[in-house]
Formats: sequence, C-alpha cells, structure tokens
Amino acid sequence: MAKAWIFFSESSRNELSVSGFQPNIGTQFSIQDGSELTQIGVLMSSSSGNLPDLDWALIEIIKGDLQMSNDTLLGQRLKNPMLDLPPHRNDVAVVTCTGSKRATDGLMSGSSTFMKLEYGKTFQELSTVTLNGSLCKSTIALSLMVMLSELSSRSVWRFRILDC
Amino acid sequence: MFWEIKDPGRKKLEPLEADVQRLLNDQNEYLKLREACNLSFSIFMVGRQETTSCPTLVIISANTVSRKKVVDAIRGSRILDKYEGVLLGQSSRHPRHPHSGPPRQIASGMGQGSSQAAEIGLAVYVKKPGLQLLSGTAIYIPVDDSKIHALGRFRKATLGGFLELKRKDGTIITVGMTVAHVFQPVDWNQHASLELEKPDEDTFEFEFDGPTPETCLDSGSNSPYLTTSGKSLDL
Repeated sequence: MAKAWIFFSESSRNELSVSGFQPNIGTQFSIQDGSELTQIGVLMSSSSGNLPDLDWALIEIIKGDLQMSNDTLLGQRLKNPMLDLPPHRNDVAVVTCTGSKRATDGLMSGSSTFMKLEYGKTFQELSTVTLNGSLCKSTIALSLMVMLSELSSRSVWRFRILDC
Repeated sequence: MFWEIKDPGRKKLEPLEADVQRLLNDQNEYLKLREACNLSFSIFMVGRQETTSCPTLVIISANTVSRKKVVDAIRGSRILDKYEGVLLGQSSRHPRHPHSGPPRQIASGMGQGSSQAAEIGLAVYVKKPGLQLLSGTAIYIPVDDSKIHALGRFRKATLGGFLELKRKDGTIITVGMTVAHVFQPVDWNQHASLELEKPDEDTFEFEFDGPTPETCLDSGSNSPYLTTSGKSLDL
C-alpha cells in the first residue's frame, strides 16, 4: 500500500469533555514562564473568524538566525512530509503529526465525503482519515476529517476532529 | 450492508458527486435556514449481499427532518435520472464511522458568533529554539495581555510547515503555517452555553428513498454504474 505523510496543525485543545463543550482552562491553555519563550514571528494573515469553513494562518518568521525545514521529527528520525499524494483514489496509509500526540498512523479513505458543518455555508469535499488510536486523553477512538484546502497547494490540509 | 465503491465505478460517479454538491450549495439559503445541522453525503455500494449491492447516494445526518429535506431536494431535481441504477438513501450516521457521534468543532474561536478577526501582528513564540525550526514545532500565542517575562497564559498550536512567499517588491519572506482559530478571541460564555447537536436516534438507521437493490436488479438494469464493491464496512 502506498504511504504518504500528512501533517497538520492542531490546536491545544487536547482534552475534551465528551458531554459538552465546557472549556477547560487547565488543558486548553498552557501556563508558561515567558522568560523561557523566544519570539520567532508574528501573525501575518489568517482566515476570518466568521468563515468557519476556513481555518488557516500564516506566521511571518522574523527571527533571523533560524534555519527552517519542512522535515519533522518522528521518533528519532527526520522525515519529509512534502510528498505528493498518489493520484489514484485508493485508500492510503498515512501518518499524522500533531501537538498532542507526535505521530499516529491511520488510513485515509479513497472515497470522498461531502459535508456541511453546522455553521458551514457550503458542502465541501472531504477525505476521512481514521487513526489507529486517539489524539485526546480519555478517548477511545477518533476520526479526522480532512479537507483539501481552497489554497492552491495540495500540501495544505485542514482537519476537524469528528469524534472524541 | 455497505461496501466501499471501487474504481472504475467510483470514477464514473464523480460527476454525480459534483452535481449534488452544486445543487446543495446553490440551495444554500434554503439549506441554511432549515438545515442548521451537520449534513453530508457519500456514495457506497449498498445491498443485502455484495453481489447484489447497488451504488447508492447516501444522505447522512443525525437529524431526521434535515436529511429528509435534502433527499427531497435531490429527488425533486431529477439529478439521479442521468445516473441509471444509482439509488438514493439516508442514514443517521456515516457508514464509514457508524460509531461516531455527529461531527463537531473542537476549536475554540470557531463557529457561530466568533466573528472577531484575529489581531494581525500578534507575537508567536517557541520554547528556546535551537538553530533549526522543524515542521511540527510547538508554538505559543499569548492570551490576554500576558506579560512575557512572567507566568502567563498561552494557547499552544503546531507549525505545519513553511512556505516562501514573494512580496510585490520582490523580497522573499518565510512564513509558517498553522490554524487561524488559535489567534481568535475566545468567548467563554458562548462556549459554555454551546450545546452539542442532539441526534434523533442513538442507533445507526438507514433507509432507501424509492427503488431498492432488489427492485433495481429485478428490473434487469444494465446500468454502466453497476460496479464491483470494495471493503465491507463493519456497522
């Protein structure tokens, strides 16, 4: 089976209440000692909050002495995720990399689903990724919805967690 | 029983998916007013046995009334007339994820009412960077007016790779990609009162609208869309 690497950004909401959306400050936010942090950039552009179908942001890197790489650390090895997805529509094994769980493998379905979320305005084509394991604490199973971004690159993805 | 649809049938039915997507998006106002819930559609092979299954456009929603309205809109459009042998059905849950509840946002700062724009120029931090920033690096965005040299509250996100962009003046800048909602203000009152969509049924339900595989196959259909099925979906 072909293997592709897919990477995406995940917010810090790494623990959810199954019974509702009660915000949990202790897990959703991180208390940090500011002296241990270094500014690397500023928010340059982002999708608007009143367009829930879009969720992207670009950070301009302003710190000058950094080397940037699209490689990512999986275990002890560096991997490059910027591989094109195979053109055929068969199921594809994937590895996801997130903040709450560094690497998780799963399967991206070759068949699309078209979805309009509760606050969405249009039906968007999605590919479902089912992960082996969970991203969130206190969860059993989790599926992700992946949407090809309306940005021009197939390398840019948007994910929504379906079930925690 | 549900099976994934395989090529070449899957490829042949891509125009149907596009037709339905266009129809439903064009009826956006109709849907927006009356279907304020999660709705989706996908094509599966459905039947009692794999050999007697038929390609079926399945409308999926936990809300019975909403999915029935979408079924009626599709049936009324006569889109399926162009696709002989393709059936129409509705289910309460996604056949590929029958044990999942309705999809929902987990991101604070998204959803209805979160119209406040992110603050351009907001600082982004990392923990003691080395010389190299990798894709997957954790980033920290200050909440409130956290004093950076004292303990403060930050939202944590992940860098999802880097791009080089060319400005109009020809200079090249490097940008990191991440999500937008991490920069947006959180309305605690809204999130505290937000209720999950309540499904009408706790169990997986499915029914055909109109012809079934039995009636379709009994009629001796030679539909070019009848195709082999793939992986069986465990409901």
